[in-house]
Amino acid sequence: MMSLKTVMMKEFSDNVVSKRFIILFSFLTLISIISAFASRYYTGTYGLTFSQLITLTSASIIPLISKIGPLIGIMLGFDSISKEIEKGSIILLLSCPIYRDTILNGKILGGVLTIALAISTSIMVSTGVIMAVIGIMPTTDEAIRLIIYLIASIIYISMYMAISVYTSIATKNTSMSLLISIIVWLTFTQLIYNASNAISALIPEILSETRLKVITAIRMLTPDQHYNNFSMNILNAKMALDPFGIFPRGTPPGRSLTIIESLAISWPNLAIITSILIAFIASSYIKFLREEVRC
Amino acid sequence: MSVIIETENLTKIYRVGGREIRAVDNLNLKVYEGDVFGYLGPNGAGKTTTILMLLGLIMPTSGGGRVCGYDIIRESRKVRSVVGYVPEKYSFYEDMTAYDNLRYFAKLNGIPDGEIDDRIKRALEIVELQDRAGSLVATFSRGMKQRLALANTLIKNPKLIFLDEPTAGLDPYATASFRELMRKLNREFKTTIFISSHMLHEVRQLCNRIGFLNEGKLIAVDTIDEFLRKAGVRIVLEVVGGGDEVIKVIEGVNGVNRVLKRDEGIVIYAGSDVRLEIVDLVMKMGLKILTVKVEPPTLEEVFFTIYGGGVR
Repeated sequence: MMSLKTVMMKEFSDNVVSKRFIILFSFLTLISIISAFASRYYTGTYGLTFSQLITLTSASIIPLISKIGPLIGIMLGFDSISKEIEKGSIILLLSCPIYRDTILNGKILGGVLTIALAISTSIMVSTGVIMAVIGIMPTTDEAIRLIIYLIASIIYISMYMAISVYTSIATKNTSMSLLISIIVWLTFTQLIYNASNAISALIPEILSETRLKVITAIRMLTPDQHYNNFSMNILNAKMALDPFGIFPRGTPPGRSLTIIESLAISWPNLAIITSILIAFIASSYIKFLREEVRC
Repeated sequence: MSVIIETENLTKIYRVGGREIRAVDNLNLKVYEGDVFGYLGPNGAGKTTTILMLLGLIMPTSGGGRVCGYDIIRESRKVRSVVGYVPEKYSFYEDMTAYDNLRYFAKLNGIPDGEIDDRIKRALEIVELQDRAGSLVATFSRGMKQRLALANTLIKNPKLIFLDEPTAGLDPYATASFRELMRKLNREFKTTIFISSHMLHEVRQLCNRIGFLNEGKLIAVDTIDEFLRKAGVRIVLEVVGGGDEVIKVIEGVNGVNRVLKRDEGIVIYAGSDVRLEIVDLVMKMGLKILTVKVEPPTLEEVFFTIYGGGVR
């Protein structure tokens, strides 16, 4: 247990002082502040609530975290093991009387801690600016929803980190691992979206039900779509998106949903993201534990 | 003397492209407590694979062994808690100080927090790096890094240290200083040292026992003195004239293994001192002998004889 904590804390402190983390973290915080300021435009005119402000306006943190979050995840994972192999420190680690999975656990937990720090700071900064500049305070219900959203975001970004940890172990090469991780990210965030449009365009009737079903089915292959659906449902009590639908076309409930109701609708989205996270962590374990040490 | 390393038919087979490579082949080895054991062999002989199996970092294909009384398969973590290892290729965290590196690895070695500082201080004093504790490892020379690696093993008060090609890449001064350090560890702290090397002169200077490994097979294990005794003698004869005829005559002498013509004269390798017979024959040929001397063969010569490559 002590060894796990030792590896985790070293990983965490290495992460937070690394230049690339500082750059991405500062960028995320800066955009959070600017977006929150920009939301002033909507207040007064529309009389929005806190949750509407952070989901439907330019102050929305969902697209912000869904765009920059994966990059933070990839940045934390792509060289986690390959760097140790390339530099030669892995053999010194392995020659300690620890289990091999302690190294992997420590690295993953150190990364999760870093993600938690980055995302909670970003959300707190956004909330703080909205409270200070616009004067809208989150209610208790909204604050709890924000905490659930924070946990979901940590899981979502950790999923990207787990993918890049796996590529780091599988390729044993930092540049190759980074390249593959970025390709996976672009596939989830761009390629599948473009492909859904391209494939649906083959269907002749515009606005047909079939066309919509095709687009939905393809986009549901991306964890990003599941994250967006979960986030919208959990942050906005007036939203009741079908977890496997892509357009906010579901009939608005007409009343605010309770947190339990929102969770009941959107838990499959979070379950899918969590499953991908677990699958990549498990694959990383299998690959890393079976790896022969070569010096 | 009690046995500190013992292997029984230890074997490691790699399968590369459908081909089987026996990196270590039925190794039966015993190393005794207090030994400075030299594990000799050319590159690719299986030396590093043996060490990694003994540390439990590579799973043997078959066979097994015990190190410091612990089973290398079932109790590999216990082995690593009492054994130090300085790999051939490794790196500390260069952006951390020597002290911080040692502290990190001390924690991973399960050393209690209250003891870490004292152990680091003592280890750095032994390797004479106490003044550089606060320096970044990136500023260290190769020799200093090697001494730091040794300090990293000393923080766990090891009974045994594995050193894989410990002086490779070191300058002569650093080599001599590192060698002295290993002697000190063995002499003063009674640490058993296992050195894997392809450098014979190094092994000769440090080790009391050696094992020769080739293509995964242990060819011979013995003390250096015994190896040299078994290898017989080397006679150097300076003769005026005679040409190849004299070599043929000497080759016919009973006990002579090999005869070579070198700049220093005719070099004869024989199982025993056969100078009198040779001198007698050469004089009968009417040739004049300038000098004749006998000396033990070098370890290099023993090494090449064992590997079947002839004496080079």
